[in-house]
Amino acid sequence: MHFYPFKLKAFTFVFIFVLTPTVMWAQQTDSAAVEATPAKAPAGVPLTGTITDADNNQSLAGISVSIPGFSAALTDDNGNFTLNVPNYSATVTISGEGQQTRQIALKGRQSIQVSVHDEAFRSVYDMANLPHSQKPLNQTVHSLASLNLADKWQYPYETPDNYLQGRIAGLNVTRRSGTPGIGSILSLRGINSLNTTNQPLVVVDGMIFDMNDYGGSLIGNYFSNPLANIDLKDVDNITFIKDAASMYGSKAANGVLLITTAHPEELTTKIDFAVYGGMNFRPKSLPLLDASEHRTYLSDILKTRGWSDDQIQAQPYMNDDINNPIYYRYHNNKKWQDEVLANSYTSNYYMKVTGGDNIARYGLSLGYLDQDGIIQGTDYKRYNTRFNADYRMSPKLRASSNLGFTYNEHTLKDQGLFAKTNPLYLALIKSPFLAQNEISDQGVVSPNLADADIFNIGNPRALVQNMNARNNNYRFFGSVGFNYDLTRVLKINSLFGITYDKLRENVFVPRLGTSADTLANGVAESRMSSQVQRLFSLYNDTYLSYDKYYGTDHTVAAKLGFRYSNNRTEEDYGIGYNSATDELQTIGTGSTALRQTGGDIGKWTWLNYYTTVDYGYKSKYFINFNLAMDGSSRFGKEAESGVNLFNNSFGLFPSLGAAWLVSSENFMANVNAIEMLKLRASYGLTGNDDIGNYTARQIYVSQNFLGQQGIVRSNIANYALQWETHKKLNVGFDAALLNERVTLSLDVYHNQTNNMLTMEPAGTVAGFDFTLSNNGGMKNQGIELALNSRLLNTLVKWDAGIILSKNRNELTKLPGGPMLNSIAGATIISQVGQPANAFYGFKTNGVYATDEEARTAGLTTRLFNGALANFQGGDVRFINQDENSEINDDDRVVIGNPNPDFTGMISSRWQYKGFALDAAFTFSYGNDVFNYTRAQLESMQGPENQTKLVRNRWVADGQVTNTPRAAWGDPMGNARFSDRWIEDGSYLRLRNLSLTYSLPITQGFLKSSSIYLTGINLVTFSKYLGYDPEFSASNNRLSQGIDTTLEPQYRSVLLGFRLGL
Amino acid sequence: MTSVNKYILVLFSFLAVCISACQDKWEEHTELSESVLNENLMLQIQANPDLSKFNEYLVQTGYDELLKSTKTFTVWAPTNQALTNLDPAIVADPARLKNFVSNHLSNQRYFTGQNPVRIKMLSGKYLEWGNNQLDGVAIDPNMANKYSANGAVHVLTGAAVPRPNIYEFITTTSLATRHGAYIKSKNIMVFVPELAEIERIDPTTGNPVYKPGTGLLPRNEFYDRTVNIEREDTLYTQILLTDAAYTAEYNKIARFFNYPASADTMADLTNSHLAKDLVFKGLIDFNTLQTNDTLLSIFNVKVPINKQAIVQTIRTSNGIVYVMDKVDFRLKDKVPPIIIEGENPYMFFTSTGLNENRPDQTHRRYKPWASNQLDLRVSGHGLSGYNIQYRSPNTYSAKYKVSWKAVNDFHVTTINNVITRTAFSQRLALNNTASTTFPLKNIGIDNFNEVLLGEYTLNRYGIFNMFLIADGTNPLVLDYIKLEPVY
Repeated sequence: MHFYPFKLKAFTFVFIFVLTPTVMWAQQTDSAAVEATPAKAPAGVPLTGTITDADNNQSLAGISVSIPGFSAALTDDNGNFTLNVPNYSATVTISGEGQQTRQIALKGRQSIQVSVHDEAFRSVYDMANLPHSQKPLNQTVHSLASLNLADKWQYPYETPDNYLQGRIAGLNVTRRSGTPGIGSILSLRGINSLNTTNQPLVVVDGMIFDMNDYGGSLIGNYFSNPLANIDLKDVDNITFIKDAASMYGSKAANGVLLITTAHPEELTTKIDFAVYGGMNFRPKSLPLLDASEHRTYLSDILKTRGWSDDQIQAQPYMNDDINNPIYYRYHNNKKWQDEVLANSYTSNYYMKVTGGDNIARYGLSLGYLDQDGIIQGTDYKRYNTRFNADYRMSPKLRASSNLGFTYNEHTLKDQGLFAKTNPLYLALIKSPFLAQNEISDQGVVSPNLADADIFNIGNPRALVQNMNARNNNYRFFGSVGFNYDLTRVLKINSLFGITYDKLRENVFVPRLGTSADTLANGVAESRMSSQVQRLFSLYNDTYLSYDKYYGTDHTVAAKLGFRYSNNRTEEDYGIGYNSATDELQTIGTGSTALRQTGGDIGKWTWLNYYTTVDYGYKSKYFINFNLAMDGSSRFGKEAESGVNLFNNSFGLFPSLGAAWLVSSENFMANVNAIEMLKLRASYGLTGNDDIGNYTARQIYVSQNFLGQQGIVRSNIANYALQWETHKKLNVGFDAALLNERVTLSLDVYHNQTNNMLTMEPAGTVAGFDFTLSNNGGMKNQGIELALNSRLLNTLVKWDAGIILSKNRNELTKLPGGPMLNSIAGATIISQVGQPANAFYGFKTNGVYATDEEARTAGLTTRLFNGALANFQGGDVRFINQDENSEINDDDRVVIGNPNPDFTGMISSRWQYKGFALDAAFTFSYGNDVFNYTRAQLESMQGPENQTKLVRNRWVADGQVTNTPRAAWGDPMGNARFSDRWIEDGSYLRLRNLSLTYSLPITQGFLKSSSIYLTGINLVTFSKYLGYDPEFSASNNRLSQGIDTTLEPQYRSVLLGFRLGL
Repeated sequence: MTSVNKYILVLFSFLAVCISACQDKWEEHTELSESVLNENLMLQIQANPDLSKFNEYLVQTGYDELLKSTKTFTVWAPTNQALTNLDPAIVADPARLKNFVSNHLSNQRYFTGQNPVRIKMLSGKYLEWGNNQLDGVAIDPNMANKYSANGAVHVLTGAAVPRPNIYEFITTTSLATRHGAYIKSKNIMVFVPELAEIERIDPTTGNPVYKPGTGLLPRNEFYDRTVNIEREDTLYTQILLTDAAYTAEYNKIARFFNYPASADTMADLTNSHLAKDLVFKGLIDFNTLQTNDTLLSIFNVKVPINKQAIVQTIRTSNGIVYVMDKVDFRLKDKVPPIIIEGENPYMFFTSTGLNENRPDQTHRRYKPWASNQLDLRVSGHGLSGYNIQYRSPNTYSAKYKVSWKAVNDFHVTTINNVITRTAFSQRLALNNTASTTFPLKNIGIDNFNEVLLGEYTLNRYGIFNMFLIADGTNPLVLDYIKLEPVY
């Protein structure tokens, strides 16, 4: 198994070098023409001015001042310039090496004084990467966020999705777990759909990056994160379009995340080499009962089982006679969490070579990441390489290639609701008086692991050491693009790309040390499974673009094109049980009778015609119009709300946006404090096509009946099944004050989801549980704020920022009344007028102190045998919501909402000479969490170990406590899903803290060098009673906010060096 | 610069405060609601000056260490006042003191307010707990239910001195020596190979040779027949007859246990037969019985109880003992008729005494009218003088009226294709087949009555054999044989 990655690495290199010459032929041509600027007689009126450095007020020489397409000039040594401008309402562009590029509206002024910031300054004039174009942020009409990743070298292990946490207002990023590379669940402006994806569309270098999950994982709560294939250090820019991005039609309902990987800008050969090493710190153990407290607890709980004193005393763990052979096996004081959790190490090596000549420029990067998890026996290895190149093949033809190949090796353990195989969960419930190894009668510890114990609880060490769960996958994501200038204003572009993904999983759960599972037709002692998933996707995006200035006032940029994507997926799995020994770990060695195989094949095609028109007037008024027409093999032929084309139903997705740069108006000339103020509004339609590949068709699945194989109907076809329609209205403004020392963006939005995919209960006679239809509706309203400011601008620079988002989600239409789902013992309700996934359970009010008090309350509940039983002292006081005195399902109410009220980030950056200190606090406020883990650890219904809270359990009449009595099997339902387990999941976390020191060495071959000392998750402030308040057990919206004992987030500290040659 | 330093200082102090504030969320959550929940029982006992004496005894007997351990216990602690009247002999004898102290301790937690329950104390005795009393000793209601980390304490206003069990009482009492002596005499040791230590393997036989004195388990033969009155977890009622009463009853039934070969055996049989009906399961309050009432013994023998005959009533740890000077058994209850069921034959023989089974011809028939709803028929055996042996194992030495029930509902004769139901004969021979005490007896058609065969006197207690002998090859049929003593 171990030679495998090296073979693949070798393959990667060969692949790149084989591919490279075929696309580099352009270098043989001799054309190196530079685009000539039009020789036009400068007309108009003169403008004079001075340009200074905003940091130190010194004048800047050699800065370019221009009006694109009209005139240009450079500043002299004193920073002065003179430029002909068409009139004094024009906008001039200022740019210079090492400095920001910015626009200055003259607003009637004949002379301007400008102080410019350095390149790294986050400015409103930065270029945003939009689909097929770049635009300065002060001219965009969309609600978007653009990140230039200046700090990417500080966070070598962050996947791009994790990196986005807190950085984009409106984007709620919840890291799935602490498993390295597992990434985050992203949701833009709340939950937009119940049954389809809520992930934003990811576009990498102009090509859609497949983010779907094909068949899930065999490893408990593992998710193979596609974005882990992208090394953050390869990324130049991340732009997020939050409002109606209709150009992506039925894929843009959740926003569009545009990732641009690095393309070289300079011709000189540059080598960047970075090496990092770090340590991950395991979280603090939860306070559980120690061996003696657990035994006391067992004394109490076993008594409620109806056992006599003698039966209890006969239990081996009650024996205190040291001469008894079993003594040593039951007299340990094991901290099981320490046997599963451990500090671990990470390392990362990265090299990037960029350079080229006038004809071809290239960037090649290689990376290796080895990140150990904090659950022992888990680790993540990534080998990644990327080759990006731009070619000027002729004066009119340019080409570019973006090729990325990443191979991931994951060694994992089950997490979450796998009560018998999740080592962390077992470490919590396993009795501390037991030992991890076998112990002889004389107390000699054997190297052999102990088997499942007297309580039928497995040995967490057996899973840590002997469970074998691997996920190996790779992705090739490559595209080649061509750009041909038909005329100066009309260009044709085309991009071809393929995605090839392969994932292989092998899982083996040993027999020794685990408790058996019960299957429908057998008992599973050891468990093994394998699966392979494949994705092959073709992509093409071809468009005509038209860019023209009309006079000095009008600019028009229009595009007309289509996108096509064809996807094929296959998933095959096999599951086996009960191999003869734990050395035999493949499915074939398991019992034939219990073997299962299965799989899935998916094919779909998407076709998207689109047009985009951008119109600008006097660089002050901007209008953007998009229209997309989407067809998909997924849509039903009879979908009603589309247009019919080629005998298929196509969805129409228009959007219109407008922006007014108020600050460029003449009447703002004297308001010096306001550098930039832009009002914008947009409204449009987008869609969600994640309705399943074949759900609109009548399909059949294979079925075995008494040994005979046949096919049966699998669904009730809905030929009218269509995309979800998302109407998005966004109003906002962007402002920059005090020479950009303060920048501010505020957005208010109202998103309405119509035709939402719903699973309507089908009648009993139908023979199916539900039918799919476009019958639901949901709305999200919210407000977002992004505020950045430079508080100090002296020798010490201090930037601080806050990003804040608030969202309110409400279901507006749901056929068939409230929908109840049960996950991990929690009931989730979806009902009109409420958030889509509210916790629905019992309200409680403490514990009855006396039997008398319980009798007075007069409440009853139904036992498992159907009899009504009265509550007694030590039972939980459930709040009776209805008329009858029985506590039953009718007494449930909404007890929590897992969606946060606010999320965001507070960031700060200090700079002093070569030192920079970055700090970022992320926070989530007002989200409720169902602490399933604690619900298990405080349920007091079995022999499992519990938290220290249960020392307060009610034992005697009159005892005033908030902890109910221990009762075997919990007949009164004291541990049922109630507000006892709902906690405030709010947190404030010092997410990143990084100290950078850039060495002032620029001699010889060394161009730059930096040292990074970075801490991640250093401090978390939260009242949450678990390892960590941030987790997401699945992509399903309904399971958010349920802590199912996942691998927790952890602190890490790392040190890195970066050398620039 | 100074302003930056100030900011940094403020930030770090903010962080420091937050870290210290947030670390203890779990502490806050798991904080003990009462400090006693972290204290062991000994601390609680020591904290109460009124329990100093009991505390002293706990330390003396070493139980203090146990009460500090992590299992759960309940302590019923007598006050100093309650212990002043304690027999000094108990305090002086370490073993007795230990027994006394442990009679106030139990495993698990027990509180007031529960239904009455018998709790096994660490002394091994089971004490009644309920209605704020332990074994009849009241607790101080204000000092009850004091829980702690590993148990609960109740303050007892008196001392619960360990009571003897029934066996201990009747073997030590002077009120009735004969009855007790008999039960005690039945103590034996049995050898259980599994418990014994193997010394070596005999090279010639290959059998293990056990170490002498190992593998011996005490048993009581009387308990094996009746109940184990040494068991602490079950309640029994024992009638203990005074020597006079015992002798009277003994003499009354001794003649039924005549055993000429051994006077000891005869005495043993008589004692056993007398004593077996004097112990009952459960705790029976004789005071609730009517005058001249009877109780059914575990052998279903009617035991006449005369309340006036109760000499003394003693509550033991596992029940109650009534010392009585009279229990006047009726002979017809005490020495009841013996019934030998036809469907339970002992062996089958030919007329020459060879063992010969005829399974195809032998039928245990289900008949609703039959005793036990079964009888036995052997029809078509084809062996002249075929006979069935019946055995009565514990037959009293007495004069019996012997009768049987044998129903001919099957026998036919076919002559000229005409089927006629006919009678046949069979006879019962006592002791051996040659015996002619009872002649052949006609078994008429459908006679469902018990038929008296005659009288017979048995001089010796023990096994009594009977043979049901066919008349030629005629069938045999029998529902039962009844031996009714003539008192």
